[in-house]
Amino acid sequence: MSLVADLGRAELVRRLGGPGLLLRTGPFVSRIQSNIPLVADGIGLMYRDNLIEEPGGFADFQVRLRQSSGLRRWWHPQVRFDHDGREPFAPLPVAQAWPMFEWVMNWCVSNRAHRYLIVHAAVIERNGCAIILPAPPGSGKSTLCAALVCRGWRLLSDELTLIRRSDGMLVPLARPVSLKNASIDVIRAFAPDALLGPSVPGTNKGTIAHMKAPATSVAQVGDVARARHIVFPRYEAGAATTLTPMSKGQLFIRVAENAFNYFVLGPAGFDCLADLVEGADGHEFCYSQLDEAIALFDRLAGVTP
Amino acid sequence: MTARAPSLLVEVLSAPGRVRLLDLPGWDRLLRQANSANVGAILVFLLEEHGLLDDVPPQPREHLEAARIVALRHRRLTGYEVERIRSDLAQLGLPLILLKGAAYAMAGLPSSRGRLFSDIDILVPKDQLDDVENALMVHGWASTHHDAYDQRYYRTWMHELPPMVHLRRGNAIDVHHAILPETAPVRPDPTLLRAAARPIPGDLGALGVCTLSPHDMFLHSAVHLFFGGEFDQGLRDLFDMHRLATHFGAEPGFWDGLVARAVALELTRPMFYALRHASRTFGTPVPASVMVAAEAFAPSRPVLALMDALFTRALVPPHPDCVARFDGAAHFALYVRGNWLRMPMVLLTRHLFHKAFVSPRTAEAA
Amino acid sequence: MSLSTASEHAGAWRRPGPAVLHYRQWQDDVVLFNEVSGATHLLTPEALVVLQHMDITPTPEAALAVILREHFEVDDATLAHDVAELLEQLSSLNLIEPCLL
Repeated sequence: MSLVADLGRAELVRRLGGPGLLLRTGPFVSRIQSNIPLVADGIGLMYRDNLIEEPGGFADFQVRLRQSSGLRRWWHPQVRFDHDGREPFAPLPVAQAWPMFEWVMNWCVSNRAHRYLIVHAAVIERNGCAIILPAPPGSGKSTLCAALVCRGWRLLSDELTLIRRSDGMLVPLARPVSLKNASIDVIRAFAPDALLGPSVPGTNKGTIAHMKAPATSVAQVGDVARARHIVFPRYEAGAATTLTPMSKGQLFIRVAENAFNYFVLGPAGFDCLADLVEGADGHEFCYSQLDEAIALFDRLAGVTP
Repeated sequence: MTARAPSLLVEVLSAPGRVRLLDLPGWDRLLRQANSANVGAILVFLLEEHGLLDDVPPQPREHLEAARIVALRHRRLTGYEVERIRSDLAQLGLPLILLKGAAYAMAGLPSSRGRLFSDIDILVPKDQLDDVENALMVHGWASTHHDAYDQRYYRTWMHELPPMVHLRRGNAIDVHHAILPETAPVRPDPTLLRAAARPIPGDLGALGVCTLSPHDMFLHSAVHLFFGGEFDQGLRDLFDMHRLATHFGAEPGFWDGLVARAVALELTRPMFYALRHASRTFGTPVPASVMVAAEAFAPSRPVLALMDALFTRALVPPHPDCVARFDGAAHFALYVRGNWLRMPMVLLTRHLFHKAFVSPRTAEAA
Repeated sequence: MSLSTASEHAGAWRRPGPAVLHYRQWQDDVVLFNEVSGATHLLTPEALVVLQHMDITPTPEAALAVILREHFEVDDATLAHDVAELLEQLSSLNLIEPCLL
């Protein structure tokens, strides 16, 4: 089995520009086709440890990111995403092609992967203790997730928590962690050795950069985990590190509100979420110091300092 | 135009057993064509009906099952919505005549399995349009298209009220008084349609929920495709006709009375096209005598040749590797009028990603 | 207001249709999936008891008050009003509907 790193730049670009690169991320294979150099750059860097399948095989998702041709090619060049002949999203400036790629990859999973209950949350694991971090944008979830991953926690996912309905296990994706605005510098300072991609300014979320998933996390993408805790983080400048328990009923509703496909799944989604809530403790978490936050998580995982 | 071999999707829809010959790359192509033609969920039920589902390899099987989940939710909520509408309109004492997707679903027709649709369409007498609109508004439905021009366009020239959306639940209802606009060259008499309407099975039927008669359902489906000029769902619509005709063809009187009914409703040309293309594409078992009678309503040879070419092109799903079609509004109707009846995940996902993207196409199209 | 006065005006209630109650209870929290509407609700144990009883048979409002009294600590002075309000809420969620016995 080959990795992206084994392909070499020329072959990577050839596949992306032609039959497609079949990239494996966790349980999924995506056929990626793009004539945009930024996309090739991003894949070559951020996904270099990922497995690829031979062209012509079965792909779960089709991701075509093309630079508009014609007049737009030179004036405000744009990247467009099409999926089975439809364009769900408006084009973006081509400079944002990499963030768009990541958002599109999220979209494909959250739209289709109904074998799983999919929660908009980060999920990390250490010592057999998996913790789900749901949070609306702007709550500092990704910063916290990136920091934990830089301090010994395994990354299962930054955006999409996949709960396998058949047995309730968490299935990893191990894709890059997206960071916004101030978080980018925070993580650069916190973990100088972390591999961050270029910062892309001017997106609707502000400036975005991605942190590559650690090679160990990518290598362990086949190792499922069971959720022990579900923690709703909230960053608040100057706040003390506090963990407050949440009732099961509240936890259920809060997770359902953060799930992409809870309502689509119907009674099966209800049962899956109820089982998840049954087996995990829910908490509200407030923090301002990353080191303190990580120490608390380590304690939850039974990691002795 | 050279004869074109049927696509893999058409082959499988015509003869589902063909999937036994598929390797994984073949499944990849089939699923992509199916998604492109919006028949992904139809495929899973079709394969199940033919006892083929258990032999599907795990990777494609997962996608088929995901489509099933969406279809089941769609069906669940269709039933709920129809009951709410029935209740909202009960005081008017009208039969609730459902059209198209909602009709197939509530009548439990085979063609309804996996068939997703965006709005509930109902047929009411023209002179009761205002009463119906008022009753809906009292129960939380609101008109869209507030522009005076649009309102007039819909009421005067189209055959429906401007689409109404439920303010709390977000679903859309289209209230029609006819099946073609008044500006159309033919006028299928709505009185005839309403008179032939049939109650659906079960309690809701006893409460006045109806569909058109089998003949009229088939002819309406043909009208929609062959007059509408929108071929985005062309393959799906033609497959509907095939399924309707195959299912009702087993009922005594269906084939015998079809041509006469088409004459009565002035829908002979669409009937001709429907029978021609459904039988050619999917092998619908149209009795020879009926086909001959229908051919009396064919257009002139040159026109027929042209229409054949057009329909054939329109009804073939795009090759997976072709460049995406960028033709605006019709194509993205799925995304413009958002409500739960559509692939609901598109709504929720886009809301969550809304901040990431430049405003989605709804804003452009609105 | 005494229970007997309330029952003069109150009708009976039942669960709509053949829909099944999917629920889980953790102490005072009840989460419930309404198969008919596809909605999910966070309810109280009192609401669950009411729904479970109606699942068995349509029940007059007054009888529900008696049942609640048996299972929970209630304030007699406000019981009839509380029951009426609870039923109103459940009705607005399409979990129950009024009926004639």
